[in-house]
Amino acid sequence: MFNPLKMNPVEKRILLGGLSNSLIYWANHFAMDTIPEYPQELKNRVEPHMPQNADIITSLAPPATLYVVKKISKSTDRKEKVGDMAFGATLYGVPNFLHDVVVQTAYQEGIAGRPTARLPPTMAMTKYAVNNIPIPRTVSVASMGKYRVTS
Amino acid sequence: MDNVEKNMLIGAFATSAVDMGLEANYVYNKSLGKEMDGQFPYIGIHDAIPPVDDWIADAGVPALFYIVGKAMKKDGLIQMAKGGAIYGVSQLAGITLYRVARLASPAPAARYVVVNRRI
Repeated sequence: MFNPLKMNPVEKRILLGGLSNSLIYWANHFAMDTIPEYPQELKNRVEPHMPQNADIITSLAPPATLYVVKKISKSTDRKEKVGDMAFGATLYGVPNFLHDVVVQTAYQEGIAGRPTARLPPTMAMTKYAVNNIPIPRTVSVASMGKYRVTS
Repeated sequence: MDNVEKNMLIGAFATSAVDMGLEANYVYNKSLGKEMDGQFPYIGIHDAIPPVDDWIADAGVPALFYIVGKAMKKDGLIQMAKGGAIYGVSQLAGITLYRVARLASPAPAARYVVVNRRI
């Protein structure tokens, strides 16, 4: 059998658990980025410093599910195999969840620390605000008809 | 948990810590408005392959554990290397698949809508 890294069956199952958890996580990311009808509830965050809900679920649900399957399995052999895969999924899922929390926190801190943009003034300010009001050079009085008094 | 599992978990967390440190630094500076792309280690190799910082964290850290463990003949460090490798290999494989899938679908959203409408 092809086994270049000389891995024993337990190590293979652990690796399989990690890889399958990673596949679930990144497949979900792909779906989130490409499917317009992706549910908004899964894109939301419980708190701004936390990853998106779907990221939390896809990081932590696979190991939790596998541990439950291990618990309810009656066969000792299956218990052992599923337990190894659950441990592999934990090796990927839990550090990946912490990774996402720290990265999202760093993003929020960066946004908070961003210098505020200075907008250019819309009009030249002078000492006296009244100076900005254009002075009419022509005075027109309705009752004077076609004659105008100019300054 | 037995000692082997503990060591593997420590290795996975150590690898993840380097990964998160590099990525948090990138994201923090980017959100401040600083240009980080192209600066070491945030160098892209190819659109389908993870950038250098991911390789340093996900492949470099387990390799370092393994080399030091072999040199010092410490089984604990080799077990940490295995734990780190499971996190790192899974992460690199996942990122690569994601990048390849994105490359294969240049306008995925539009294509999905067209398929959904059964045109």
